[in-house]
Amino acid sequence: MADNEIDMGMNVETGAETSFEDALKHLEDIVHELEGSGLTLDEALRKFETGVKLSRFCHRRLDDAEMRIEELVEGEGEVLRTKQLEIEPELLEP
Amino acid sequence: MLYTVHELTQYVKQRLQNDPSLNNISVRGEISNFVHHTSGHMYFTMKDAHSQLSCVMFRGANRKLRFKPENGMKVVCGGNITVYEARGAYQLLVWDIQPDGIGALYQAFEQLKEQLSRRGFFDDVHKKPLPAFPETIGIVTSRTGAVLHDILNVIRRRFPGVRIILAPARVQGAGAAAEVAHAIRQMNRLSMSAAPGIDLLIVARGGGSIEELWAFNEPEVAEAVFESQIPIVSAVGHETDVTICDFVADLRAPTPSAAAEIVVPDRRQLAQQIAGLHIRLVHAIRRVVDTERGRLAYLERGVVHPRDRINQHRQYIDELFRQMHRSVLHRLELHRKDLSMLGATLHALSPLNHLQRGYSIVLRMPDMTVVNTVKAVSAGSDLQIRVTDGEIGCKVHEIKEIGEDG
Repeated sequence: MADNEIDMGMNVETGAETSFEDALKHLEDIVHELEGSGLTLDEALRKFETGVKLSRFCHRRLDDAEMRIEELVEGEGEVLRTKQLEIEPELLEP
Repeated sequence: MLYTVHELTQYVKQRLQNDPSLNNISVRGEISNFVHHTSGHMYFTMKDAHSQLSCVMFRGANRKLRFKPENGMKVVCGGNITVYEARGAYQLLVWDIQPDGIGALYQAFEQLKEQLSRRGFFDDVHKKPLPAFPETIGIVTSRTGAVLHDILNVIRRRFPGVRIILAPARVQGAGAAAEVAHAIRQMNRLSMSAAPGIDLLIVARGGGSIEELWAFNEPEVAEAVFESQIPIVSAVGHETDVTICDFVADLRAPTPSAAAEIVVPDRRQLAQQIAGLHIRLVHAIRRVVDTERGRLAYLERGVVHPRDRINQHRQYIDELFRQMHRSVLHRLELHRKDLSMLGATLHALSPLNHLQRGYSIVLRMPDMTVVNTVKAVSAGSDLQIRVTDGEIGCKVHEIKEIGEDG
C-alpha cells in the first residue's frame, strides 16, 4: 500500500524502499533549503512538491496502525523464517 | 623496645592497613548489635560460632544499600581492616553488604564482570547507536508472562506501525542462558539473511531474585550480546537489578516497559513534528513565490519584458510616423508659403494688376500684337482694348506721333 507512495520519486538514487527515518530527514532538509535562500523558483517549486509528498508519506506511515507480530521459527536446515505469533489473545488486546 | 600506647597502636595500624590480605576482603557472618546512628553511620558486630568482628559502615557507603541490615541476618561484608585508635580495636570498614546464601553467586558475578571488563566487553567503543525509528524490532524473552505483554502494549500505544519478531527463550532455570544466547544469535542470522533486517533487539525479563535472573549473568549470554550486530537493549529485572547482560548491552533499560518506551518514538509527538515541518514548508514556498512575484513586477517596470519591448517598438514607430507626418506637413507648409510668395510675385508682375490701376492693353487685331508704338497702327486699323473686366473693340481715327520733334 505504501509502495505507491514511495514510488513517487523519493528514493530514485537507490531505488530502495524509503524508510520513515530517511523521509523525515529528507523533509527536514528540504524545509531548511526552502527557508534559506539561493533556490531558483523552479527548484523551490520542485522541492516544495517533494516536501509535500514526503510529509504525506510520513503521516501515512504514522497512521499505519497495524502492528505485525511474528515469531522466529526454529526449523531444520539453514534457512530461518518467521510466522505469525501464536500467543494468548489477551496479549494482543490493548 | 619501648613504645607508647599510641606508638604501638600506630604501628599495628600501619601493619594491618598495609597488608594486602586484609584489604578489599569479603567476610561472611551474622549481624548483631546493629545500630544505625543518627549521624547516618552504621555500627554492628559480625559473628559466627567462634568469633566476633567489629564493623563500621559510614553513611556514604550505606546509602547505596538496597536492603536494610538487621540483627541475625547472614551477610557477606566487603571492606578493609582498619584500626580504631581511640580504643585500640581493629575493625572492618565496610563498603558493601550482600545478603549471604547467594554469596557465591555474587562472587561469580564480580569475577565475570571483572574478567569481561578486562576483555573490553563494556567499553563504550563497542556500544552501537540505537536507530531513531526502528521498523523491525526483535524481542528475546519468554513467550509467556507479563514482560512480552508489557512491551507489546507500550509499542502499540506509541508507534504501532512496526514489525515485531519474537525469539522465544526460557529466561530462568537450567539451560535458560543457552536459550537466550541462542535466540540472540538466531536473530542476527535472520537479520542478515532476510531484508529488511532487524533494527534492534530487546532482551528482557521481569524482576526476580538474583538466582532467578542468573541466566543473564552467564558468560554465554554476555558473549552473544557482545557479538550481536544488532543493537541490543537489555531490560532484565527491576530498576535495582543489575546483570552482566546490562553491562554488555548497548543500552540498559530499567524495566521491559521502559525498554519499549526507549526504542520506539511517540507517534503523536512525531505527527506534531511533521505537521510543523509541513507548515514551515508552506510558509517557505509562499515566501519564495512572493519574492519572485515582486521581482517579476520589478522587471515588468523595466524594459526587459518582451511584450513591453514590442510595445516600445510600436510606440517608436508611431513616433516616427508622427515625426514624418510633422516633417511632411512642415515641408508642405514651407512649400505653400513659397507658392504664395511666388504667387504674390506673380501677382505683382501680372499686367492684370496694372489694368486695375487704370492701365489697359491695346492689341492690334487680328494678330493680337501688343501695340506699344504709333507705328504699329494706321488709320482704320481694328484694335482691341483690354481692361480689368473685358475688351473694347475700336477703330483708329487719327495717328499723332509725339516725341522726336516735340
